[in-house]
Amino acid sequence: MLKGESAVLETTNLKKAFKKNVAVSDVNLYLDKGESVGLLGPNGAGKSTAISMISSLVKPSAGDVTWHGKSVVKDPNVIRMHLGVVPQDIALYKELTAVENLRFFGRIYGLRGKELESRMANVLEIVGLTERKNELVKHYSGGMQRRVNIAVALLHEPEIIIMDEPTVGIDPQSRNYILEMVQKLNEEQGMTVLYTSHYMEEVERLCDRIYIMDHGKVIASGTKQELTGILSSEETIWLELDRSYPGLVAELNDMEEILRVIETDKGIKLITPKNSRLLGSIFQAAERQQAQIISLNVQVPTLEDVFLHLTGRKLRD
Amino acid sequence: MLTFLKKDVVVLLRDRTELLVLLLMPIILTVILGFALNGMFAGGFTSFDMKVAVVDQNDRSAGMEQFTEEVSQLSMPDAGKNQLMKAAESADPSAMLTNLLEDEELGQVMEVEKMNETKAEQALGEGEVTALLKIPEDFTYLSLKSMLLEQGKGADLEVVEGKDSALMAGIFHDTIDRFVHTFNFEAAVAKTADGKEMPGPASGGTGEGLGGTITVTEQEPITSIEYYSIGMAVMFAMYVASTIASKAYVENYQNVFARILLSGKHPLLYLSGKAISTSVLVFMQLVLLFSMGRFVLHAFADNSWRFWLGMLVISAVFSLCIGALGALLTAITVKAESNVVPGIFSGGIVSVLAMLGGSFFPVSGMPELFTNLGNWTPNGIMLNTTLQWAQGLGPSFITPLIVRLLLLTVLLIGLSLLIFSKRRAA
Ligand SMILES: Nc1ncnc2c1ncn2[C@@H]1O[C@H](COP(=O)(O)OP(=O)(O)O)[C@@H](O)[C@H]1O
Ligand SMILES: [Mg+2]
Repeated sequence: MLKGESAVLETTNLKKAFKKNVAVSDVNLYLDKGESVGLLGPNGAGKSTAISMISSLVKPSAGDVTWHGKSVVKDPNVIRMHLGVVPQDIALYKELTAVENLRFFGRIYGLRGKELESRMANVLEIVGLTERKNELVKHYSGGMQRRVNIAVALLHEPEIIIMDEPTVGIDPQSRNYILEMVQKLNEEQGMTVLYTSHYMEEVERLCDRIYIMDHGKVIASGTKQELTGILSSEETIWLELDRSYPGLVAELNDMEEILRVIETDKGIKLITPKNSRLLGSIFQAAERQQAQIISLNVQVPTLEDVFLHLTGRKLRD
Repeated sequence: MLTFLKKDVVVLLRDRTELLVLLLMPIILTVILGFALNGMFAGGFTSFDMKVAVVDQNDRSAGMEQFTEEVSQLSMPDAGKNQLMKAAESADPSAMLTNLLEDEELGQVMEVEKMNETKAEQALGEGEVTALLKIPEDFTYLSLKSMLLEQGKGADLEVVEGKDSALMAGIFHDTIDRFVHTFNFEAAVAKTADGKEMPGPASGGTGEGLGGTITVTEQEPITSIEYYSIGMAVMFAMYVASTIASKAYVENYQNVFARILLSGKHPLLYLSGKAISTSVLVFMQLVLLFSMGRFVLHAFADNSWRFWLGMLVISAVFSLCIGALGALLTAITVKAESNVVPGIFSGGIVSVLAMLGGSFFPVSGMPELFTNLGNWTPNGIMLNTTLQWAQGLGPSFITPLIVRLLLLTVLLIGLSLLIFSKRRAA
């Protein structure tokens, strides 16, 4: 079977222009059932706009979005009930408690009575807020608000969940909690996930496939391996030392296979060809110079490096 | 729909400050204004002390003579002429005016002194008297002519207000004004009783007293507490509309609205939710305030179910109208994506509307444009309707006002739909 053959969601040449400002152009992406897909890009790349078009809230200037082959642009209702959206901003009534918010939005989705109550209990469990469900949302921490924001999107048991930067501005524990939760939803419940972020660690960790967006366009896509394969075949080796060893620097400089030696205040940075198996020689050199190696770190290229390579800019500016 | 209502009510109940403003403030203001401005109403003056000069130039016997002369020349049977003359003698407009001025209740706060014109003007100039009332020479004649023959506009009572105490003078002016109204009204009633043709108030013929300005009849005087119970209630009802609109902004409309759309619901559900919430909240507010007025401030002594049923109906229609106003403000807030409009509304427009509509003081003494505008504010209409109802005027009097209120409601709904449908696609 070809990739994208069984896509549940697909966009073709999706475009959105706000007056002269083209926010999204020619975005083609697909999600297979049960897949976890990341949309990575810096602020202003057009991720939220793309997501709004996918979730039928914004009409595209051109192109189409299909859900199981049916056009979402023509009839938004083909996707709405199957879709859970976690918006970038907290979309909750802050004067209400978590339970009251869930009840309100559940009712809007037509849920009633026992079914509503049991689903509320279920999503509260998923986001880990059962204990504090009766507190006003405005009294929650940022992380807890984000969790309720997600809970509301899960209430009607959607087939696919689209999350727009769900971890922005929260503490590491909450962030970790959310990431684990998304992972569980995807792996254990088979939920299809479209995850938007400008944190490459998050999409690296969560997603089977990644689309990198910049200036409204998808500039690269594929699995993490495929993406990092784009980069030239180099590797960075970090040697952290207790002090500077000019002799070691000289010896490393004389080694043919090492492309560059850069001395820093903490140690030495080496640029080598990929898979050059130089670690043994490096240790022997250090032995000879009686250098104390505090740590050694082989850096393979990250998505950050890929982005840097493709755009000449960092992901987070 | 109930879901929206429940949510809005809970949100409002959680906001203690807002709740206090919407419920406690009108009561406090009613008490303050009601007692302080007690004197403006037939209930009696208690707290003002002012001196008024009366320049009585009226020549009663000459007036009677002239009137008799005129009657004798009418082409009607002698019996009719006799009846008119009798009526003229018993009516005696100048006696009625003197009675009013020397009235015991009025007398508690107002000292009336008859003076000649030069002396009176001097006294006014020196601030010894607050106002000056000039009764013209042909007062008896013109009044009788107007009352009994329906000719002319009656006599002009000239009130000259001193410049120092505008408020007091204004009150005096108002009293005189009310006298003239009452006078005409009673004359009208008297004539109807006499079996003479006259345009019935229900047909809307007598404009002034019924279109909107307050007509305080002697039968069912409105106390100042009653007046302000209603005046403040209708004013603070408008704050509910702006509160709901500004909550729409605070409750981050953009995001929450997206969720509502995603559930497949029609966008208008949101707006109608706001309208209904506003209406229900206003209705609850009015019921609460009127109950407070009744049981705490002892206003509205009428306990008949008919009276209170009428009050409920009027309140319900008014609530609908304010609901529409709430929808309009919400639509504007949502379109402008800013909280400025509800802010301006609650910070200024409400006060202007309240003033035009007579929430602070009766507008009968104001220029016509002023009263006309007031007669098209929802609060002004509501105030008039309620006052007329409380004075015992029947359904036929208040129906046109209720229809006007409904018209205004439809207009406001139309406007809000127009604005809401043109909001930025989100
Ligand atoms: N409603 C809008 N009107 C005009 N411009 C918009 C609107 N929404 C987004 N944009 C513009 O489109 C671009 C992409 O924005 P967005 O989709 O929010 O990016 P991201 O979510 O990746 O940060 C930005 O330049 C932004 O200013
Ligand atoms: Mg965004």
